[in-house]
Amino acid sequence: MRYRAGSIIRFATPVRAAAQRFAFLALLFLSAGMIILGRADAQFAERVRTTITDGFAPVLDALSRPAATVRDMIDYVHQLAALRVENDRLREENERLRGWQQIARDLEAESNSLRSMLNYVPPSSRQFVSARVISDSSTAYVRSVIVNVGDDQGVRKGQAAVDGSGLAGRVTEVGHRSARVLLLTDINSRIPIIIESTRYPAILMGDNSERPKLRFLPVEASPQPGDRIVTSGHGGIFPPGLPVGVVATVATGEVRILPYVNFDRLEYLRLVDFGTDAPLPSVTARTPARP
Amino acid sequence: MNNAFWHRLDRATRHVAPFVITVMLVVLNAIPLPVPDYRSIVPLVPLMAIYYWALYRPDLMPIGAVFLVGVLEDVLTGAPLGLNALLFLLVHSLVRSRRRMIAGKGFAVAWVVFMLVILGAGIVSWLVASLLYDAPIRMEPAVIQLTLTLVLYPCLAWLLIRVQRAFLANA
Repeated sequence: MRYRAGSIIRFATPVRAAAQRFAFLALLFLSAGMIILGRADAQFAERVRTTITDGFAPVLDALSRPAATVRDMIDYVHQLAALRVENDRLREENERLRGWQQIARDLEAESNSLRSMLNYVPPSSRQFVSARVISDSSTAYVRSVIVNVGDDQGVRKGQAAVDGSGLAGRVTEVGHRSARVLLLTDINSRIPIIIESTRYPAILMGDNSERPKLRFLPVEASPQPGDRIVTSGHGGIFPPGLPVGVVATVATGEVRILPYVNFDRLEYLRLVDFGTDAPLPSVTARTPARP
Repeated sequence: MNNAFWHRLDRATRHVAPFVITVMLVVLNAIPLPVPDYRSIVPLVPLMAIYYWALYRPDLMPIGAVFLVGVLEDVLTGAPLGLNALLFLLVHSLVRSRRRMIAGKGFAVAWVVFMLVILGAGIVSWLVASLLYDAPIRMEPAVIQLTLTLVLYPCLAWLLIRVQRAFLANA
């Protein structure tokens, strides 16, 4: 009996070792293959991702709630401490904003009257889907988050993701109940923008740093620190005029932007449905009638 | 018969504990935390777990499980699909084949080897990511991330030792 068991082990050990070795090599090639395939055929990688992310979305959703609650509580205590100062600041800001409101009303009226002269077709109305950030799934190499809505709620690839302060990124992968938002700081992010005051167009390019840079800006643009950057709407994916950030630094050949969105504290995002599948306004509607 | 069934179930549960715990760590690692710039420097907790199990209980962490953990990590972090799977497999097999040289030598040795391992892993993943994105990626976050991972390893190891003693002492 003893002898038999020993001989089986003696026989089985090399076989097991060989099987292990084979499995290891197979899986190693599989991983390498996945990296290459993911690069060559983005759709495949996307399907795998969205399927697995969908499966884990409820878990992430549930787990991210306590984290959010703790954050809210810490915020609450901070706010209590700063209540007086905040109040004074807000009162001052209110004064200032009242002035702006007046200006905005005047401009709106003026703009309306000018539009009525031009037969201007207003852009199609936007719809929002609100989403909670359930996974801060970024590493040293990738800047993205996962949100708890998917195509069941009408989320589509390419939609802009904004929070209260401005553009955060764009939807790159959509599952049934989860979606991935590529943040505008990611190295793969390219967003057509314009400098608000001078209307010069450029591409906002992420490089995984906190401050993405501008590319293809015309030489004569000469942006100043503090200039506002908004989406241009070129390419038809994003609505024009979404606030993105301000020019932070202008060095030789390199303009860097400080985004409005605080990426450290993303909690809720709104995904903007720009209605790209809405019929384009017909040409005749645009041409003013000849007298 | 009944007794034997429960015994087997108990054993099976204990045997998947390392895998389940590692999966839990991957998921927990992806939860947003209110720490400034946390996203780019979040420590590589899954890698710590892979290293730990490869070193102390490789029998309970088969390479299939390692591969699955890696794919899950790729999906949840948005890394190129297969990158972490590849890294984890390499780390696992490397540590496993040399574990006799490391495991019995005390914690300090295991920690130093862990430093070498994550250094290698960091270089490989940086190279692959840079190749995939056709651009050299900024190194600072990766360096901070690796340092943080190294510093926090004893904490996780302490936790996993508790787990191992509680569940796997005679498994």
